[in-house]
Parts: sequence; C-alpha cells; structure tokens
Amino acid sequence: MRFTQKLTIAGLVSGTALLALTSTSFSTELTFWHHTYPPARDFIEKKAAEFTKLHPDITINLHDDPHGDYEVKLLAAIAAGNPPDIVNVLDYLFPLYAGRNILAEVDNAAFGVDSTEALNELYQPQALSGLTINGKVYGVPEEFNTLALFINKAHLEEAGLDAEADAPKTWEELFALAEKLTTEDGSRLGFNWVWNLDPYWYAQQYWPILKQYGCDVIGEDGKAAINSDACVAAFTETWKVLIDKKIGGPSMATVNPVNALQDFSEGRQSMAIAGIWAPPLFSDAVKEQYVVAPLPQLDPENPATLLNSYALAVTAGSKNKKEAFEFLNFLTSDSDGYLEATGYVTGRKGWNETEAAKNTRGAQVFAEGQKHGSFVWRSETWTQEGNAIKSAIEQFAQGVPVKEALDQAASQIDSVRNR
Amino acid sequence: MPKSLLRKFFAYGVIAIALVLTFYPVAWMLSASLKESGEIFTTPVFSSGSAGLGNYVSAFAEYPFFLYLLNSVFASLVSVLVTVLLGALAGYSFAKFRYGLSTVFWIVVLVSLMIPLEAVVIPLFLEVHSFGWTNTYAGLVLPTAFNVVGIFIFRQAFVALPDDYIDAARVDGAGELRILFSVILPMVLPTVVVVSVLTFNLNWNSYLWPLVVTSDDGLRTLPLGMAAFQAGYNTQYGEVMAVSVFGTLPTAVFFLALQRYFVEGTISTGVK
Amino acid sequence: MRIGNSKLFGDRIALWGILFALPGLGYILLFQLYPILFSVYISLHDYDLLSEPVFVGFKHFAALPRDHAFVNSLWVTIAYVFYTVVPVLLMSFVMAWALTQVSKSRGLFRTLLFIPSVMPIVSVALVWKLMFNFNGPMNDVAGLVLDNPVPWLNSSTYAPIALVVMSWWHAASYYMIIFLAGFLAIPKDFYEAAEIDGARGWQVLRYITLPAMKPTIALAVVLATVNGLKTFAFQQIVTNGGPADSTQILTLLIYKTSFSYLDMGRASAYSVVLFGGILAISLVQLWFLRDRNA
Repeated sequence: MRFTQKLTIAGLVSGTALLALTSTSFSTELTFWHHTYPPARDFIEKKAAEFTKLHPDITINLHDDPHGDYEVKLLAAIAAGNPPDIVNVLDYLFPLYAGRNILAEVDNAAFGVDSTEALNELYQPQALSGLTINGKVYGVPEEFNTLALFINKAHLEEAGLDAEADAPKTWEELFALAEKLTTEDGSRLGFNWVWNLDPYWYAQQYWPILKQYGCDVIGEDGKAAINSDACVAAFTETWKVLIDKKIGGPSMATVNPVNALQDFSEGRQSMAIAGIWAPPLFSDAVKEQYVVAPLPQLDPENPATLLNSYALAVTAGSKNKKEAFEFLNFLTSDSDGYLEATGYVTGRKGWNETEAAKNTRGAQVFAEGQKHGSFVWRSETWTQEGNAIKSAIEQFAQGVPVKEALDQAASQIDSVRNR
Repeated sequence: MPKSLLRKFFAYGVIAIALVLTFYPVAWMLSASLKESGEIFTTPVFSSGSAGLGNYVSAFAEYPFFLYLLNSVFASLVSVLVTVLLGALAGYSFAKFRYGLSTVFWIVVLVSLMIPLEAVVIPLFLEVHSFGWTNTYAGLVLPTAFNVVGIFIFRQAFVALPDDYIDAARVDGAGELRILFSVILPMVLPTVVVVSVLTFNLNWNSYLWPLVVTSDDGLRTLPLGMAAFQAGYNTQYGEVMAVSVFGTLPTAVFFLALQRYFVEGTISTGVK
Repeated sequence: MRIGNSKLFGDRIALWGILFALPGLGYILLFQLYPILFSVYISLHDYDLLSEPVFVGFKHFAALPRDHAFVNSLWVTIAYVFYTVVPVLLMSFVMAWALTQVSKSRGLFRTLLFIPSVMPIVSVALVWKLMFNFNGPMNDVAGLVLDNPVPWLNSSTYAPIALVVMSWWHAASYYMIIFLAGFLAIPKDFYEAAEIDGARGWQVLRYITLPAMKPTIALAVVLATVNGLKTFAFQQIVTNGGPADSTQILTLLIYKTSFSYLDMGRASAYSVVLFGGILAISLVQLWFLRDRNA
C-alpha cells in the first residue's frame, strides 16, 4: 500500500464529490508550473490562448513561483500524488527526477516524429543530451543556453581599448585586463564571478573551466576526483586569481543573491560571464553599451563551454500526458516568438537563423558556443555534490588553501555517494 | 536625591540609545524605499532620493500586493480568532480546574510549543492534502492558526484572578460557559489584546506553510508576494524596500490601534 | 483556593475543565503532535517522498555522529542560540528596567521600542541584508575603527556574527515587553519594605527584584531558547546557510535535506534530534528556574 494512500482515502471521498460536480463538461485542464519570470509568463499565456483556440477542449492553467521555492512546492505536490501536468526543471535535476520516476518519457508522436533519433534531429546537436537518462528523453528545452563574456564597451573605451578587438581570449588575458580596469577605490571592478548563489550557479561558471583543464568532478571509478592536480590547477589559476590580486571576490560584490549580475548591469563592473537571457535585466545605460565575446579559454584552439537547459517536462503522474506534450511541441516550436518575447533560446534547429536571432546582439557568439559545450556532470545526488564544491570555493575565497578545500569537498562527495 | 537622579539619568540614557539603535534600520528602510537603486549606497541615509514614490508605484504595478495583503489580513484575523477562543478555553481549564488528566494535557501543550514547522511540514502537508484542503483558504489558514503561546498567556491571567468571582457566578446559577465568556473574559480584556497582537504578528510572518499549501495566485499571502518579488534577476533594492515598508504597515497599525492596552494587559496577566 | 476542591461542585466541574481543554488539545493533536509522530515514524525509514518508505531501524540516527553536515549545523545552532539568547535577555532586561524608571512618556517609548517586533521577518531580513553590504551602513560604522570594510556576509567568521547582531535588534524588544510586565507586577510595598530595612542599589536588585522576577525570567529564558532553536527565516533569506555552511542552522539543514536532497528519512532524524533537544533543554531550564515556593 502506498505510503500516502491511507491519508488519501479521505481526500478521495471529498474529491469524487467535487469531480461529480465538475465533470459535466469533457474539457481537459493542463496545469503548468513555471518559475517566476514575467516575460515568460506573458508569452506562455499568449501561446496557451492560441492553443485553446485550436483545441477548444483543452485549457492551460499556468502558475509560477520563485525559482528555489518552486522545487519545494513541486515535491510536496508529487509526494501527495497530485502533481501538475507540466513542470519546469533545470537539467541537473533530471537524473534525480527521472531516477525517481517523477517525469514521463517524451511522447515522440506529439512532436510529429517516430523515434528518439528523429526527435534529436529537431534540435541542435547535444540539446537533448542533458535531458536524456539511460537513452530515454525526459524533457525538451525551454532554454538551451551557453555562457559568454559580456563586456561594457564604454568602460574599455575609457581605458583606451576596443571591446571587440581587445576582448580577452584566455583567462590570463581576462584577469590582466580586469586588473587594468579595476579602480583603486573599488568603485569599479574589472571582472568578478557570481558569488553566494546556489551550487548550480557556481557550477555553470566553473564547469567549462574544469573541462578546459581536464578535471573531472567524479572519476571513472565513480569516486570524487575534484581534488586532482588538474582541478586544483583549474581553480587556482582562475577563481583564486581574483582574490589573490585583490581585484574581485565575494567581499567586493554587492550582496544580493537574487540578481547575480547586479554589479555588471548597473555599470559597476566592466565584464561578466552570463547567458543570452541576461540583457533584458541590464540597466538602460548598460543595455546600450554591452558587447558579447566568446567565453575565455585555457586554449582558444580547443574551446570548451557550458551547456545548460531550463527544460519543460511532463510528470509521470499526469493524466493528460498526450495533450501536455502536444502543447509543449506547440509552445517550443515557436523559437522566434520565444526569443523575441523572453530572450529564451529553445535549442530547435535553426533558432539562430530566425529574424529575432538576427536582431539579438551576440546571437552568433552563443550559437558558436553551443557547438563546444557540455552539460555539468550527471548524478542523482548532484545537489549535495554541488554544495560540497560550492563550500570549497567559499572556503578558498577566504584563504583556505585550494587543495585543502577541495580535499574536503572530495571526501564529502564520496560520503554522499556511498550512502 | 542625587542617587535617584543618577538612576533616572542612566535610565534615560539607555532609552535614548535603544531608540537610536531601533530606529536607524527603520529609517534606513524608509529612506531606501524612496531612492533609485544606484543611490542607496552612494548617498547619505537622510538625503532624499530621486525616486519619490516611484518604487511603490512600480512594485504595485508588477504584483497584486493588495490582494496578497487581504489574504494575509484574513489569515491573521482567523488565527487571532482561533487562538483567543481555544487559548482562553484551555487557559481557563488549566488555571481554574483540577482533574487527573491536567498534567498530561499540560505536557502536550508544552511539547507542542517546541515543534519547529520545518520539521513537520511534509507530514502536515500530506495530512492536509488528505482532507482535500490543498489550495483552499481552509488549508492556508487553519493548520497553523492556533498559536499555543496563547494558552500560556491566558492561563497566567486567569491564575491571577481570585476564584471568588467564579464561585459567586456559580451560586447565581450561571452556566460554566457563560461564566467564562460573560464574567471572566471581560475582566482580562487587555490579555485578549496581548494574545491578539502576538498571534497576528506570528501569522503575518508565516511563509513556508502558505508556500507549500497554495498554488493559486489568488491565495498568495504577503510574505510570498514579497519573496516572489525579489526573486527576479534584476531586483531594484528601492522596490524591495518599498514592499518591506508596505508589509510593515498593517502590523504596525494593528499594534498602534491596540497599543494602549498592551503592557497594561501583560501587567494584569501578572506573568506569575 | 481552587474550585476543583469545592465540595459543592465536585466532579461535574472537573468535567467542565476537561471539556474546556479539549478543543485546543484536539487542534494540537491534529496539526502538531500527529505530524511530529509521523516524523518519528519516517526517521526510521528510507523515504524519498516518491517511492515506498523502507524500514531501516535506527540507521539514520546511527549515522549522525559521522555526518559532517549535521555536526556542523549542530555547532552553528548552539553558537547562534548562545550568542543570541544571553545578550538579548540582558539587553531587554535593562531596557525594561529603564522604562520602569520613567514615568513620563513611558507608553510612547515602549511603543516606539516595540517596532522591530512588529516588522515582518522578511522585511527585517531584507533590510539588514542590504545594511551589511560592503558599502552599506554597517561598514560605515565599522569604518570608524577599521581600515577595510568588513566582509559581513562573505566570511565564515563574520556572517554568523552578522546574523546574531540582527537577531539582537529583532528580538530585544519582544522580551523587553515580557520583562516590563514582570517589573510592573512587583508590588510596590516590597520596595518600600526594603527601603525601611535599609537595602539599597544592588541589594534591592539581588534580594527583591530578581526573586520576584524569577517566573518572568524563566518564561523569557525558555521562550528565547525555544525561539532561537526554531529560527529559520533569517538564515534562509540572508545567507542561505553560507558562506561555506557557516550559518547553516539545523532548521535550514532539515529543509534542504528534505526538499533539495529528497532524503526525508535523514531529515526526519535531524528533526527528531532537534525536537528532542529543544524539549530537553526547556525541561532542564524549567527545572532550574522552577518556583520553589509554589
């Protein structure tokens, strides 16, 4: 007997009474939970109305909650056996959610194809790889992103430089330029990492660096490898440099874990690593001034970047899976509209040739970046592992030796994986 | 008497320092709510900002804070009602009656005071879900409505009342319920006020429970709205502060309206 | 004199007593005791919210001593409660005493000083978070004595201090009200008698005020400790437990373990330990502070 079943019986009794009242019409209502982002809300509601026009028997009920709080609520609903039909999930949670049977496998027919291979063909290479667990695809991207370097043109001009020509190609060049742009009194920073956010934010920033340095979080033997020489070098030569040079670090960033890019977007910081979703959040002055350059590399000849995806999926408990996937196909096939209204890249093939992409600054930089990217490591205990590394970063930012901090992270990761 | 003068001087000194320390953050919040984001950390605290009421206007344009406010007020008032009613009944029972089970009952009450919500939110959610209460006002309000501290405060107040009133009413033939509600409770009205203010505040701060149990925007409470509001990627500090000021107003008004009963209330409570 | 003893009314009255207690108790059983018992049950299982729970006995409890995150949170919690409760009680006691010395405008002062307790917790947290910014007002103050800004929320040393400081600000006025009520309840003739006996200053405090205040102090100590151990919102909103888990109080660890790690069994074991700890500490406090005359 399912754990919650005894409890649910009472609910069922009152539920059936309600059902009897409402089931006189044969309509289907899809519940759709999304993280809070007003432009996305407006766009999805618009598409939902269009979809209902085509399928008068299907309506979509959209609900949003702040990212973070959203997961709490989703899990409570799933535990109670009452999940929404469509959910919005970050790619790193797919191993956990798919492993626990929370998500339904994508219905190929709803996307007009007959196989997983054909489904992949609809997308940029690799776009579905982060959402595929054991060969099965559990969701489609609403956002398929990579990161690039944003540069404030005006700041570089003040230093006698040109943002396009002098854009740093390597980490070394980045930090040298950052040092040049940082003012004595700390009123302007050349560059800073995003600090104090959740482990996934950290991971998005360090993952491409780890790949460039040949560092694995988890080794082939399934044990933590985050304290290997390659990883120690990666963190020492990138993250730690800002702190050693006293030109960056958490204590020089504005305390605000909700806007990661506050300092760049208000013109206090000259360069930042961000995605294509970032510009709508910039202040008007910075919107005028930014240019997009490729993500700095260890070796620009062999680039490695990040792929990430805020994906849409249908829950295994949904009673309307077919309709839900049909709506997802309808929604995400409008790449152009998505990009224009929300700044999201759906990852469908050809997104970068659309009208909206041509009007989006840096779209081609992002499209090129997507070709060299990979998703962060897949693990059912990703959050604990990510937290261990986040903790290590915050420790060496305060002066703990990098190796020591990473050793600690490695032992925590191993103890989590051995549970 | 120089000694008592010194004491007075010291006392006023303490109050003055406490007032300054208390009001600095409040003033900072008010002043920041009237500034543009860029001005908050760069201009002196008591300079006027250039945003005017702009932060308030734009914050309200983004979210229906008045609706959230109504939901919060409703939830808090129900909570006050439940707590005053059940708290007075139980407090009266513990203060003025002796029966075999009272120690057991008292331990149950003590224990319940010590349960952190974070520790029980999932079991509570599963239970409330089985009632079919998720996403309803009942689910939002009732499970966390009873502020157990109310029992303690009422008990203290009733203990301090002489039994003679009760005996006299009984001899007059009044029923037990009537004695409580027409004779005893009116004598401790200030205690009712204390319990009301504390309970209103407690419920006003409720965050985790409303988050888990509701998913209709129409059921959102103010703290949820505030959290949603600062969860965008580009939060304007000024707007966050404006929302914070707005969230303080109802509890402040509730307290100010009742404040003159407040400490006098706890006095007759006697806290024995 | 208690009514239950009255021969005139007897058992029938006692029954009323039970009836009066029942609605409140029912509420507590339904919405508090049942869930905590449920937590105890889950703590003996492996349960991820989604699949069937599997009975594992005391596995989760046995693992606690070697559980790095738990041990860390335990210390964070103990330190937070200690550094919050003791200063807050001292401050609020002095503030309440000062108010008793003032006859004019006492009501006004008391009302003004109570403001922090009326502010929503979310507002308090957001305001202080900004005040601790590197170029915020707390560093303007620190700048009077120090050369460099203090990394209030970015250092494992300072972040716990920052949270303690804001908790002082938030909580002092609440206990001030409780102490004030206690002070004002001390009958005036106690003091007059003491004065006649020639007691002064410290002696009055030691032999009159403190003994008379004992029940109030007991209430305040227990409430402050319980509330401190149950704190959640400040740590969640201001630092979310960081940096490097230095402010990861137990309630926050429980929250993350349940909802981010989906490890309900372990989270419930944490909960049971926290709950048991709160209970034990409160009982010890109540025993030490019990009214020996009663």
